[in-house]
Amino acid sequence: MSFAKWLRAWFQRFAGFLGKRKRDAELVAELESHLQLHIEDNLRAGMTPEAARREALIKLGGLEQTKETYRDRGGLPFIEIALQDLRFALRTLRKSPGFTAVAVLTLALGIGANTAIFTVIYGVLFRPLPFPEADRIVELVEMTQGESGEMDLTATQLRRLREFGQVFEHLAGWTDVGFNLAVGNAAEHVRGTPVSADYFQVLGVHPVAGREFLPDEDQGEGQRVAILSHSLWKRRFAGEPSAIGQKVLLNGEAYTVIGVMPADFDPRGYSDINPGLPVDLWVPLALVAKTAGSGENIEVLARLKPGAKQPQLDAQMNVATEQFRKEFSGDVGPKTRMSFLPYQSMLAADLRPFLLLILGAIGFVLLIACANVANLLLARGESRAREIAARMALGATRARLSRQLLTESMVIALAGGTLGLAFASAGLGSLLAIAPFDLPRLNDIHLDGWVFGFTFLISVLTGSLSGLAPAILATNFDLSQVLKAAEGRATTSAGRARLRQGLVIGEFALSLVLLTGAGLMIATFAKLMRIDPGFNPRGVLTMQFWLNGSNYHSTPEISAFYRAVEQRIASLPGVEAAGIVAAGLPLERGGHSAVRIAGPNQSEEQPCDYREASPNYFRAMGIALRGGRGILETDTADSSQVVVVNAAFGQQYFAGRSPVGGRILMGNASREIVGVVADAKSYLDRPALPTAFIPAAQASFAGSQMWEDWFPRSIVARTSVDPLSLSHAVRQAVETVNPVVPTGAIRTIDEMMSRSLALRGFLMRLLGIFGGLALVLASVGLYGVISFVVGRRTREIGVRMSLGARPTDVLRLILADGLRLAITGVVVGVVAALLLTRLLESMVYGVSPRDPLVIVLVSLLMMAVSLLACYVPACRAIKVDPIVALRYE
Amino acid sequence: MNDKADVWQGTLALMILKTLETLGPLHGYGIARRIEQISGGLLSLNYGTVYPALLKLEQEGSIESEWGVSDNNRKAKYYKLTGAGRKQLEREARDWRQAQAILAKFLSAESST
Repeated sequence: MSFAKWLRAWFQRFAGFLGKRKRDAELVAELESHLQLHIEDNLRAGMTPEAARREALIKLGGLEQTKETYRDRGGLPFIEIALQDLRFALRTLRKSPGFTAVAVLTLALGIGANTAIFTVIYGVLFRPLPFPEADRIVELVEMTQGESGEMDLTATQLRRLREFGQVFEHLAGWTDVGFNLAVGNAAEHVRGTPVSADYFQVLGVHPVAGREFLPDEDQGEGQRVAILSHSLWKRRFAGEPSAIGQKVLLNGEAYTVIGVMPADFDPRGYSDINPGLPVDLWVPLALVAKTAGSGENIEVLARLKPGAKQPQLDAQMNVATEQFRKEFSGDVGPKTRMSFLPYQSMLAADLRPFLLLILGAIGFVLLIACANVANLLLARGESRAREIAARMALGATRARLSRQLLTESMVIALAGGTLGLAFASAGLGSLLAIAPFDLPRLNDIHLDGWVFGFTFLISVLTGSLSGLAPAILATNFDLSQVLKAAEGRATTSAGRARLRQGLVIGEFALSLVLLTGAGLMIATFAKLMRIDPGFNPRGVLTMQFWLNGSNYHSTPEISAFYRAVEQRIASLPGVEAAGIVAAGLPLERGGHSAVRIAGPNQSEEQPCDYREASPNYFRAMGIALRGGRGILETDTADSSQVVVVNAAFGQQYFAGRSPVGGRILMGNASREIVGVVADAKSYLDRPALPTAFIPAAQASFAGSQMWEDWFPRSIVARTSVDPLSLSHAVRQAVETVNPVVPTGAIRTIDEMMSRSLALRGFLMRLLGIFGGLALVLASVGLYGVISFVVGRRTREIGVRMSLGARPTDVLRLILADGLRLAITGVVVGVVAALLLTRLLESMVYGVSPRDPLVIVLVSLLMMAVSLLACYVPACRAIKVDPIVALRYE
Repeated sequence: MNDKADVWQGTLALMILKTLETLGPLHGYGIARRIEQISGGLLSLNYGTVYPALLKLEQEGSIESEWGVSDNNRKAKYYKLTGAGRKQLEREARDWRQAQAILAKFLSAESST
């Protein structure tokens, strides 16, 4: 049969399915007319009316059978059966609302949580980027032994890379800086991105007003032109088209506005320099390419030519790698290989393991929910055994009944899925709000067809997972046995009992894995809380500010500004000390540079963190002095050049001897080390890097400006009152000194501490909640199984007790049953935990992911809870009256 | 049981199509009678079985149906061949004859050796 014909037939059948009544009526009429015609013929042939009718009916054959075949052929019988099952399922479920509510709610929670997490993960990791043909956008990476990371280039290297560009349609560099945008008497700090001229062609998005950069504007020194974001244009130019061609002051320089990007344009470039801040303007890359620092931090995006093949790209990048290794040996190591990876996969690459870990953990919860619902269904199957047996006796086939029971669990799962979807959509907002990390691509996180598809899929999966075995087992018994069995007596098959035990074991194992994860995170958290951060975090307020483009054009002018601001803030009631630091607060990424140590290895550059501090900074931050002296008011541009280093610096570069009195070379300046301070950490879980603190008054003006492109300067105020109560006063102090200095975020160090612990704290809470939930569900499962066992052994217990068994013997008997299950679950769980907890490797701190203490404690906890779960039904067993028990059937 | 019915339905469909070609528009009873007559009583047919076969043919577009009035003024549903049905009949008749010829040759060759 041709496909067209087949399709036509099915279409007709579908139409027939919809018009079932009409079709049936028509067949009846047709058969009626058939009989009449036949009877008339028979009469003409001389039969009696009686015989004529009889013969006609016999000839037609089984009337009902004909109708049945006709009906099957005319409509879609399997859908009709499914609808029938559905109606039946709804009816039975309505009759036991308690069971239905518990099962639906259990699954709704599991499915809802999975849907919410999937929505986040899909949005962050997998949703195609909102650029035309986004799969052709790739990012430059360096691969070292299987690990890949973004690769930064210098302007020279970017030019060189263009020579290997045969597979690229466009190749663009970009970097990330901050700008002080001054308009009239108000200043604002915005995130800006210097980009190559063809950056927008790489992304395939073009300005809605004005134009893109011309190649000329990105040549040589670069020209001062800027493209604004839509929101900046609205904010500063009220969305006037006349903005094009106007001048804006960026860091004090006049730039001509040449274009405005569309409102929904978001390049998604994630930056840990200005986290969370949207990009507000773009300028030509050539403007910053010469600056020493910025020039070395160019990231590269490219758009592949249509049809460009990976092997071709790889081959070219291999050649490029060889060339770079020869030319820039410092930047491309012998084991490093340059490559391009899809832009999409690079975004949020660092969050990927964490997000997938959460998805895995929450998948466990869903599995446990499934197991629980399966347990409920099994119990229900037991109580419905007689009903099912009766229907089988009336001729229902086993497959047909299983199908009907499975329909029931599907209805439960789909109802759970629908409710879960509602939970997810209601909870997504709060989930994102409590998420302790800055998610890139936040705009890409929303419910859509993919999410609905996912929810539907896991609902169906959940339905079959929880319903299949119970549905098969429910019809798997000896019919005569069940029908003969006395009313009210529990009947069960060995298969069902085994399955229920298996489910309990599985639940215990899954719970143990989750709880072990939670335990490891609690241990990690406890370790982190006990870490000495190297400063006193209590009662400290910080506020960001920026000076580039202001009316301070030299270091002495800046020092004067610092002094004025510090004095004003220090005089506020409740402030004990106020200091200023540039190039990075503790607990945040800050300036990283290199120094040379005067001495035998003077020519060698040593990595070293860089900070500029005012004299009061150490006191304000509570960083203890370990030797020598701190920074003094007398350390000025005219006095001898000094530096204060941290303890790690002394350990690493002076072999533990006191570095005080030693000298270091920074650029051209030689500085004497005059003091050592405690290691104020940038990351709680990593050792502090060697750090050099330069007196702010002795910093190079150009260098200081360059650091500010990335890291805001910060005011630090130690207070004896609630720090945030001083927010307004601190901001006003700066405004009073200079109204056009833009100020940024006000945060307490406490807040920054909890933020730096937030990711782990979140995981700890999440695993704790999941694990607790799992344990409760598993205990309920165990309780159910043991209650059942007690019920079935009532008679045996009665016999034992009448023969002289003491209650403790009976108790031991029952508890042993429960403990056997729990112990099996725990053993399976421990094995699984040993295999799985290494996924937590990057999250734990100070404990091994296989920490025996944690595993032992969690196992003991689970045993204790399982004893409790068995104890209640066991108590019921010992209260059995032997006389009653012996009569019990 | 199903397999047998399918084979039977295949040949039944061909017989129905041929009947409609020869006699023109006809109701189910007439078709069933005709098939029985032509087979000379060799085929014992439950008249009821033509109806599912008619429905299948109609769904596939080989025939179409219409309520009409019989010679003796009885309401009856009349079936008639469509263009597609005519082509199907030609093709299937040819296939059938071919298969028959091959089988006949094959069987005679078998007996002569």
